[in-house]
Amino acid sequence: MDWLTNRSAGSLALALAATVIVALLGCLLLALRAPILVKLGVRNIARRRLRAALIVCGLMLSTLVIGSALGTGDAMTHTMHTLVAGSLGAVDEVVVANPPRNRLRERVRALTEPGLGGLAGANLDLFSQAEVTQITAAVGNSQHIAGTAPAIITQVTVIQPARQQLQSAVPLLAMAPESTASGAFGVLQTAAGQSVSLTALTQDDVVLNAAAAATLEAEAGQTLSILHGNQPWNVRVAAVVRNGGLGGTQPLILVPLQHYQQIGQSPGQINVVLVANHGGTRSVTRSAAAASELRNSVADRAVAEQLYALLARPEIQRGLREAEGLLEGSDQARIVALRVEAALPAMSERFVSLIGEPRTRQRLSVLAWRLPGGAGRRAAALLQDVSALSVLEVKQEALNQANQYGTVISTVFLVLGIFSIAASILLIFLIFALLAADRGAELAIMRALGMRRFQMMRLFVFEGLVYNVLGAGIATGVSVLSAYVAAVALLRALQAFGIAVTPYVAPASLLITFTSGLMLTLLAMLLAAWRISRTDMIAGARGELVDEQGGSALGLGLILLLAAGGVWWQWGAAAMAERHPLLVPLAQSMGGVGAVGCLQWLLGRRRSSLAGRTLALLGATVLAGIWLRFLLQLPVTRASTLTRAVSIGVGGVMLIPAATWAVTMALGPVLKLLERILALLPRVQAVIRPAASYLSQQRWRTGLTILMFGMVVSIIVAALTLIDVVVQAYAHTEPPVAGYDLRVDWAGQPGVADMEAALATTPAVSRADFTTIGGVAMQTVAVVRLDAPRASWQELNLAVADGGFLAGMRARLSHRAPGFASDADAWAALGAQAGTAVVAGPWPGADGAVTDGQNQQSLEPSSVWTRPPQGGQPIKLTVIGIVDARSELDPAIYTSQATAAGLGVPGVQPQSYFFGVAADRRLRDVAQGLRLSFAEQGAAVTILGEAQRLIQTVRLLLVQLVQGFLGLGLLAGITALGLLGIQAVLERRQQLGTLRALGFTRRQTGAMLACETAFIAIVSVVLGIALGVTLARSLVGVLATEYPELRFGIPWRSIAGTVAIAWAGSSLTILLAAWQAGRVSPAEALRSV
Amino acid sequence: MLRRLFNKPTVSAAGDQPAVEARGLRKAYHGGAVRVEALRSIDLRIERGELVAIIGPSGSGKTTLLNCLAGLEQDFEGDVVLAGHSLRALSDDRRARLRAAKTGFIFQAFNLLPTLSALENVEMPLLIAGQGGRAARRRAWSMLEAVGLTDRAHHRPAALSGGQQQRVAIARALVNSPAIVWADEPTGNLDSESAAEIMALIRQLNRENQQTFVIVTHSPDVASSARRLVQMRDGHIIRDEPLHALDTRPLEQNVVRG
Repeated sequence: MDWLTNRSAGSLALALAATVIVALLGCLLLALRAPILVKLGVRNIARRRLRAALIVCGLMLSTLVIGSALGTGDAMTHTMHTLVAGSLGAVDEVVVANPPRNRLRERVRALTEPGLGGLAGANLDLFSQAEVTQITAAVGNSQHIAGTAPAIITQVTVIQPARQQLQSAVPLLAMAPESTASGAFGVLQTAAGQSVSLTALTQDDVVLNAAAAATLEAEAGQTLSILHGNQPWNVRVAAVVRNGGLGGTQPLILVPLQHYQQIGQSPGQINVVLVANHGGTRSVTRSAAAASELRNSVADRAVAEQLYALLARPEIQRGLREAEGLLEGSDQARIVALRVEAALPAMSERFVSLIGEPRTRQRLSVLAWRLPGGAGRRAAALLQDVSALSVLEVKQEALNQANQYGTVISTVFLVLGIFSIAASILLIFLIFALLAADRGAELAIMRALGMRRFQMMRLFVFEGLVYNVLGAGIATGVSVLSAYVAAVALLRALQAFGIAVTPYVAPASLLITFTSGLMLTLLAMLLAAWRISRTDMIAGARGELVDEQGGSALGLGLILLLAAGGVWWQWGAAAMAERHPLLVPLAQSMGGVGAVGCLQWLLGRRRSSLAGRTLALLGATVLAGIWLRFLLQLPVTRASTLTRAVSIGVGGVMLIPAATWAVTMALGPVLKLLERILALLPRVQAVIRPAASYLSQQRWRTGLTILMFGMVVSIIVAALTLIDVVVQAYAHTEPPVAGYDLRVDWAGQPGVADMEAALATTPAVSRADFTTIGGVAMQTVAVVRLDAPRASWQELNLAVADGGFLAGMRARLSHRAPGFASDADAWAALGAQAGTAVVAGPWPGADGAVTDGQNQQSLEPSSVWTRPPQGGQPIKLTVIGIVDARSELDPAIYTSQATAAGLGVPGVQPQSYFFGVAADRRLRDVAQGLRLSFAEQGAAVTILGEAQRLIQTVRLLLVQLVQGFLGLGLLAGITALGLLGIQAVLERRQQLGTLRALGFTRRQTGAMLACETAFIAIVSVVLGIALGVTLARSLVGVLATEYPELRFGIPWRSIAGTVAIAWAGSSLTILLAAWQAGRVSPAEALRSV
Repeated sequence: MLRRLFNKPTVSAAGDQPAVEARGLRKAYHGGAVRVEALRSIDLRIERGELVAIIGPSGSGKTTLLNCLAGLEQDFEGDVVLAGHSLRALSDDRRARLRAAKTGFIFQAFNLLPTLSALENVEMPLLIAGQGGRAARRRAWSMLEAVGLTDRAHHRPAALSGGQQQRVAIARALVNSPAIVWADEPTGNLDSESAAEIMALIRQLNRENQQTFVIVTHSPDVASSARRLVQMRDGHIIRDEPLHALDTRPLEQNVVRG
């Protein structure tokens, strides 16, 4: 799906529109040259209005699928864009200090949480304000950068005395007043339009934006108390300014930088440089260029020169070229660009910019270990030293993520919709085949009068064009409605988390929907019309069912054979199979189909004989076998997850027709057998015989219908299975975060040494509010695993847990060493047995997630050596468990205080406390009580599991959206069967009259028609279930390599329910047609032509 | 051979019960605001073993009459008694069963089921009537043998000529030894030679087995093969008399004109 991410929707819409206009102009030209053909084609629409309406419905489906997918994605993208613009305001880039490795998670949060709030919560390190001078000097004349502002951004707790309220985690921005004078960051204005300057503020004045004022219920002139560390800072609200500009729509407190530096006793220190670009609302388009200039300004040129010299070495260049192959997409592009720049005769500005780019540095650090000699270690060290500061394109990253959400949704729906679209295209073929069959005599007469095949094509195209345009137009409108419904559903789910989803469909999406649906249908129509023009009209003149004969197979066979040979030769399919797994089965399929085609050509007229049919059956079976084998083996190949997922889609689209072809070729003998079995019941045999013969004679039509309905059933089964797998993995109701409900952190501050004692004196909470209390202190240690391939000391977090934490810990372990009866025992053992540890986070050899406490793996106790970073005697830790990958525990090695003491890390005061709330207490009330009780110490209180619940809500909501989306595909299948059934009744009216004359009752007539539909439905359902389960199994296998908590299982009840609905829907249409047929007297039916 | 096949006497032991009788039969079609009287109070009695030709110009009501007599039309006034059963008193299902048991049909367009072979087409009435298995298959084969088409038994209608198809249709119509065979323009789609063959076959069956035939035709040549002529015009029977008295004259002279 690269076209969705790499090409702008606007240019795609224009390209499609141009193509459609050209196509329609072409049709118009043909119509003007032969208006009689238009008349002949279009007159049928008014004559058969009900059928015309059904055809329009059928043609709508592909457009509806595309429109719904794009519209839902647009709503998400638009919402996220609005959020981003609102939260970041005028800030395009920021410059921050590089955090220590063990706080990379906080850095990631700064990138992933949009807005200054995310930066404020990232606990950024301080650096010298003098750095700004260097930056300003370098970019002062930049055509991209409008202004820079040194600042401190942090989160504070604010007490509103007038309302007795406390609000924690409020972003505070301390900014140099002179930076706002340039207007680059917007103008501070009150609601009345009065300008506000930070320069005019006194020592204890602050400015609130409207969002902060609303959150704190504060007004200008009121007093607030801001907790800074342990000290309250009493301030006056000097003004309330409009949202926008700085801070956007998030709450923000603004103070002059020097005032805050004095309060915080950090003169000359800042933790962020804010950067605004030129370009107003389109400033983000300059982000890449601006960031490049900024990175050049903060880089240490001497270190960059050393790194350049290292990467320019031939053996390093070779190593990089080999390592590039392990990456994909933009990551690969970055490393390739870096290698190319390093190969230039002199160090370029682009090289300096690239090594300053965070993702490039991260990827290069990982790849460095693959470089020969000691170059990797040297490169990693130089990357650390090239700059103490990082430039983050916060707005661009946030927009990318916003686009990604929308694209992911659109992509998921489109991938799911591929099968529905394919089914819709097959439906078009069916519709045209039925239209042709209906007019067999008419077409034969026209051919007898001299109409050429191309003119006949035009006849159908003109008629089909009317249906097409109507269908595309109506579908575009309906897809807007369905996207609106999806957006409202998303809004309901996400509103509780402060995300207001806005229903929105981009004009480009509307145009893409209309034009792509129209083009798809037009192409299918052209192919169907071409096929009709080649059918046997003489049989049609006799009023017989038109039995379509295939054209010469030789040309097609040879072409396919040549293509297969070309593929093999050009791409060396086997050699490329790992990266491009589709090449091998595609080449094999081409060769197989081509070979069968050529052999059938050699058979000539005997193509439809037993030999020919056997050959076709063999070919179809081999083809199905190729793709089945491919799908079953795919999960274990080494291609990327995306490549494998797309391959599954393609494999499914190939497997289903192949399997259907095989089943259709085997239909005749199976139906004959069925008839023989029923020979003991003559009246039943009388009903089955004409039904069975009709199905086996009309192999093309029968096969097409089975293919279409089977495709729909298979995608529904695959999707239901995936949904069930996701729900099983994520919707369990165990308590979040290992038995604890709340968490209190004193990041960077000394916390409470004895929480039990503290709770005895706190005013807002007491010990009785909690069932469990545990404390954890994070320390950085050096760790080495001697059994690892490249054993080296690495810095990791050591979580020192007190006895309360270990006793109350309920985190599930995906791996547990033998000798412990339960996870709780393993946790308790950390306190009882010195030198033991449990690991949370990535750990070599462990990828486990536990589903409902089952499927736990045994762990061979492994040893790691640890020591304090500054050196000292290493001690051995024995890892006895690995935490479930879904746990929210911070990644660290968890051990007891006693074990930590042995490391020379004694008496560490916990920085975080975990609380299990009593069942009869309200969680939010207790959380607020903790905030009030420890506000003066600057504690941050978090309700655990909220993020998890948000993700879970969104996941389950997406599941519901997918289920609704599947309904579109189901509609295609039911419409198809209904159309087929109705048409079968209409075109065989005379035959039905004959049967009635021979003695068929109405019930027998209906039973015969119902048997035909039932047979197709049964075969389609069985085929669809088998193929759908295969697809799902393959997809789960692929996804499980990244999400091991996903475990394959078949939801039989859901499948049975959905299939029953599908069958009921299709049966209803055929029974209606049969009932209508039964109401007509035999004489009237016999009069039909 | 034909006698061997039809060893069940077709003349009922019930005595003089007619094969079919119409009493005060009226039928009208409604086309929007227009009402067309297709049949105006028809009284007609056809005895067993008769070979009756119903003749008349296009729109005279002859096919409508045949359909009503055969139980293919439901909505009519008056009554039709077919093989001793009043059609008005029968439900649609029972009419169907009566047709399966007591009647056979030959159509102008042959109306063979295109997806079945000739043998399977002939076998269908037996299956519908509840007779299956090997006996039905043998019976169908014998019928094809009687019409001289065993070498085409496994061919579908598309592979047969018009005359061959009509012979298959005749075999199908006779396979369950019906009391009466209805033929609507049986030679309409055939060349003169094939038409003559078909009529000869019909006459032979009527003569040797006392099979009752009712033939609707607009062709004087076909009508001249019958033994009784019923002439219709504008929904009335204007003439109904045995044809043997007119054998020596060309049929055209026997047709009332004006």
